Amino acid sequence: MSSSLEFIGTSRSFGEATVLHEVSLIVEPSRCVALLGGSGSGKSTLLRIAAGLDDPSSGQVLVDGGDLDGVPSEKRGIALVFQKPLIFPHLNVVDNVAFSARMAGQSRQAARRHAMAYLELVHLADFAGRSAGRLSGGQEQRVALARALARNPRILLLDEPFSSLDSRLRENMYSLVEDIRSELAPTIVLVTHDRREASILADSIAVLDDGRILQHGPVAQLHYQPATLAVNRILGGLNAISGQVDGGIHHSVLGRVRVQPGMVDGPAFLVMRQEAVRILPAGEGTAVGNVAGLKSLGAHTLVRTEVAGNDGLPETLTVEVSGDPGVSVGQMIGLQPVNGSGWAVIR
Amino acid sequence: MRVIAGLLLVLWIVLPVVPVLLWSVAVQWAAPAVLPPSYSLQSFSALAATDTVRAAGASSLLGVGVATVATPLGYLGALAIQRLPRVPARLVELTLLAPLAIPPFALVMGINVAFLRFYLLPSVGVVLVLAVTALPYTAFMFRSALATYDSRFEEVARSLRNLVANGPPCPGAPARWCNRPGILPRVPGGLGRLHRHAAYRRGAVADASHAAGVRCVGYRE
Repeated sequence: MSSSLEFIGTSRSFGEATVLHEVSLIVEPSRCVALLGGSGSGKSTLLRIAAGLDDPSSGQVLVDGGDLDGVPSEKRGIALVFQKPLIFPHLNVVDNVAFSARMAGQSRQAARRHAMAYLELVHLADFAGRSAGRLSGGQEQRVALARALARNPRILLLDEPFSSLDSRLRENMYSLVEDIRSELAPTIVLVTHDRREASILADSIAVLDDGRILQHGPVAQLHYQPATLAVNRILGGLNAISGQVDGGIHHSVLGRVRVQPGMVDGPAFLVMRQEAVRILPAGEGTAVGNVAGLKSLGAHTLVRTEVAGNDGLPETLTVEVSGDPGVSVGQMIGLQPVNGSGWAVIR
Repeated sequence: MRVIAGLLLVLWIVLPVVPVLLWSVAVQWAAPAVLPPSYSLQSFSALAATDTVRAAGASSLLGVGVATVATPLGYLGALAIQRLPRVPARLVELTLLAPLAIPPFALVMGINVAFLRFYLLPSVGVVLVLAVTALPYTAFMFRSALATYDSRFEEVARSLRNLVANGPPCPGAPARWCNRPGILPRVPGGLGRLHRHAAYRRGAVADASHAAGVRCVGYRE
């Protein structure tokens, strides 16, 4: 059974410091929402409030429309998985997963039978009898996931659960979460500082910065239609070109670029992701840039260019290309937006 | 090399016990004799003497009584040191250490005066006096144990306790007991189940840290 989760004007202060400022967010049943933000953005605090491990200073948390104020953690039907797996050291793998059923009064045999189904789901059935101390990091996190799922939660909260795993294990865990979602369809709130992880796992991303939700929307929207420069930065966007919007057209060193309808005339930044700009031979495209630096990302390369502005001050524009970009530092190149249109923000 | 080191370690532990063992079976043993000149089991027969058994029984009872009082108090003290803000925690720490700092004679005399005023039974008084002197040790033993304990175990355990309507069923128990708060003492087998089901009926609750096998507290009204 999956439930909806809603925060209404949730704030949290510790003394003078306010870590959450009237956060409002809706997570629909069976959906996965990622809370994305840097350290100290308040994302883990929001999760702890949902789990009942911390109380909001003001505001409400609703599950299926019911207010959770005063409802203790164990009565919320919400399971939490931390970054550290926190496998109970005095229990073996199957008894860790069976913990919730045992707490609910099932016999050891029935609880273990119940747990085995979840261990199979996380591909650890063969490790049922193993002691907690003899598992690898990835296996421990799988057990933690199975243990949380075996509780049959209405909502599953994941607090940076994969950040301590290496990249290969992390990919495996992403597949596992996909399997779990298709099998059990739980409502998931994932806290992460990794925008790639958020994009892979979540249906939508809520960007938190300094205790405020800056934007909540589908993954593509946040990448290509950020509400602010901060959202663009947090989602890894490297380009924000200053200019002027006039009649739906942004004028800047990149030339004239059509922006979204409804954009008011005046100063604005053209937000253009590094993947959405194309490098052309000099003399082609809407702007001319001078290659100022190259940075390898492995299979991709970031090409940093300086584009001369009308007022003499150069703007920096970064382009991400796959493989060898075929340019060198100091070379003049042409630049052009891939779509021919862009997204403008005021701040 | 490891075998030799292991043997040396065993010798280091066993050698000091050898003279004690010899003394236990020696009739007399005076210098410069390397070994006792004659042997007897007389010392062991004294173990079965009524006075010895009574003394051992009294000591055991006293020990159990002191442990029963000092262990939970020490745990609470350690918990207070760990969880209180810095200044109050330091005050608790100093209070717990006080019995070690005050000379035992002054301590016992002071406590005895207080006990006399309360018309306390002598045996209870002795247990309490010894519990006061044992408290610093139990508190700091628990403090060391708690230092390596991650309190998030409790948070995970709380979120795993299934008290909502969609929880798993509770086979073998009447439906009305299912999904009720339950204390799960570590009583083995059927007795544990009976106790658990009885606890369900009483609406018992376990402290979340029970998950980590630490402790159980109270009953829900």
